[in-house]
Amino acid sequence: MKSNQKASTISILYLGKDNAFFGRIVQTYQKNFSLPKNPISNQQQENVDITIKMTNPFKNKSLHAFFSHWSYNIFPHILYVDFDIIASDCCSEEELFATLLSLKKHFLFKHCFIVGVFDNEELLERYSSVLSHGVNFTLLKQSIEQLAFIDINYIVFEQKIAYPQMATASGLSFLCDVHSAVKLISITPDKIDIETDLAIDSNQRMIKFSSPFLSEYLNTQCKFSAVNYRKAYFHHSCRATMSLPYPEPWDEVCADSLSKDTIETWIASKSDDLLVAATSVIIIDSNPAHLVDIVKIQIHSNFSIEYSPLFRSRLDIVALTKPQIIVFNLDTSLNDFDSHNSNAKPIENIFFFPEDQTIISDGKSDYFITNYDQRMQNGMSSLSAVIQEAKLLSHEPLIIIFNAPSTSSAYQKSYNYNKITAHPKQLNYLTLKNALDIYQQKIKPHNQLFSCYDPNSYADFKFTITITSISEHTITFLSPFELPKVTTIKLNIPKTVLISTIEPTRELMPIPQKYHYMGVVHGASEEIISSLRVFVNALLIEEVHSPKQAYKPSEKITPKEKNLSPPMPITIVPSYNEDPSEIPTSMKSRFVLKNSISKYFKRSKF
Amino acid sequence: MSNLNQPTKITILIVDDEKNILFILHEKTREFCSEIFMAENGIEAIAILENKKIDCVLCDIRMPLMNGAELIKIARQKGIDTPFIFFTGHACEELMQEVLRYGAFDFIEKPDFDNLIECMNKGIERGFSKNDALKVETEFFSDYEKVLSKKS
Repeated sequence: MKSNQKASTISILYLGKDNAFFGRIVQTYQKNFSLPKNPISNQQQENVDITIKMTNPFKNKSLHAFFSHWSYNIFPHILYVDFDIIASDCCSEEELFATLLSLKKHFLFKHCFIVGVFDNEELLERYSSVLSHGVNFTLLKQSIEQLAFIDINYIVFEQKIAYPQMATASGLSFLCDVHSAVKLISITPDKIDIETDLAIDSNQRMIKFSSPFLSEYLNTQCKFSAVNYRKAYFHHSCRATMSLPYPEPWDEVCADSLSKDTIETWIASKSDDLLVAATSVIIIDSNPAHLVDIVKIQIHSNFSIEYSPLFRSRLDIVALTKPQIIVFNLDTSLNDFDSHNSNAKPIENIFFFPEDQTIISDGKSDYFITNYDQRMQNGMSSLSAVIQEAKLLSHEPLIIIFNAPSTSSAYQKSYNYNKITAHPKQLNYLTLKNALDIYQQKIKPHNQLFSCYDPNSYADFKFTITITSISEHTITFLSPFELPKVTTIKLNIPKTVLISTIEPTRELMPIPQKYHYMGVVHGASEEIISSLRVFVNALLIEEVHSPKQAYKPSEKITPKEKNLSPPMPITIVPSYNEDPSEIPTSMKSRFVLKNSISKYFKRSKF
Repeated sequence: MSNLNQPTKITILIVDDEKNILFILHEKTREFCSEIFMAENGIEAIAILENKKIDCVLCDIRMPLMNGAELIKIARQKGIDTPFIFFTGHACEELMQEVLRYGAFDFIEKPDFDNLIECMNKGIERGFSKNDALKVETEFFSDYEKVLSKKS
């Protein structure tokens, strides 16, 4: 984010080639963000600068243009990625997934809301693993598109423009199993490294975990041997190491455990598909144009690569990930500043984390003000910190400095650390790729890495939530885990739907030792929404017929909400009237529906 | 010692506040240089650098009036990109890290000048090949392989 960027600037990017869909995006945002004209001057009261662009970056291999343009000007608040570009051969599945994963990990896109756009349910189902690749939200074309746009606006801009009111069955207390996407990073016979958006508490020693390859043997619970939070990476996400449930030597292999031989055999049998992950690399580089090179390395080689724009917030990452190689692209423009000079000026095209900024207002507009501190930049001070940090690691990582004014020998002697090599030019793809290849030829591998698009790397955490209210649009629920905003979970109510956590539109009652969240349904077809509607109505009917069993409504309505949405009493309210056949009227249908509820939920007690 | 990549006429500048060191270095290098300039402080050195074409500077890092870091900083500000080889001693770490900002070629610990000529030749070669992309890459990978082969 550029300093002094106006907060009222809205930037949206559509990555795809569907002109009709792009037209609908433009129309939606123009309509929703056109502010009323001043009746006296007939001028717009405030200018909201909306930039909406359409691009197909994969066509003609122009990823460079995409990244350099968008990151140097203004990165998008919302990125719509149309998965039709795979079907139409504009890019490969591998390339798109690697790019999405890179975006998820890249600082410029850390706060960018990524929406996966799909032609139909089948396509969404086929690419459901995108949820562990940085896609925050899904949207089916032609289905309930406008509602999705409204939800996206609410999540990103917290603006309840035309926010819908739906019939809500509240005061519920239903247990429901849900799944959250997990990405497997690497595997050895002793452990599996995973990444997840769930903030798993280190006290949470056992968690149900399933993955395609393990399901060949068991659907098991795995122990967490360690949990490392990586808030500097992208907020609320963590990397965890899981130990596999091998039986103790004196125990026999049972349904909840598997033998070590099994995993060793599996790894051996998949050795052609798995990559040899010997090298963990951290790249510290503030030039966003280099991202595309890093994506290419990630696609075509077997390195576990992490990148950071600035070193300041990354000290913990070096300690946590214990990289074999640290690549540092030195910003020599900072050399003109004396490290003790408090009059140092901000530098153009340097991006800052929002947490390093303060928003001030002049009464008309909000501005981001960055407290400039040279130590935040990738100058010599940061390089010194990197080297000092590396020296503390027992395995002495190799440090490659690009754009280095001095020679390898000078750096080695100056820091009394002989594993430094310096390149006088800016970081570039070929040199880095060659250097990493040489490293891997010389150093023996010790880990098996899942490639970023390996279907075996997609796994699920399974846990149980308690649903407290439900409509065809939103669900409130109690979670045993803290869930970051816009975490997607999958549940069956009664068909499989995706729910993303959002800022609650009404106040939710705090429950001890639980986290109370609101989630919004997304990526659902008309058919699924319809079945959800029927289901909600069935719940409402059940409440009316057995009100004493119901958990009393616990949610208070905020004053803000009062203006927009009257409190919903427990009553039968048909949610959509367009299709009366959807609303159950007969006892028979009610009976069937009640059965359907008990099929999916178990009642619980607080 | 000669090098095909180097000019036949090599001009160097030696900067040190100790006259005996200037003398020793002059004796050590004169066989390989066609012209040797000497300065007892940074101010004199800057004047020479501004007026003469120097291929390599051999400079003490700790000097009165103007230390090595200040000298190389001024030189770079004036657009002089001559390779600098610094002589270091005890407790010079801060100054060594400071000069890295401005492109130090190498450091030699006083009074051990055994590797001086080899280092000077490399510096001169680097000065002449810095815009040759192929040589830059070759030199980088040569350093890289050496680093990889080093034991922890």
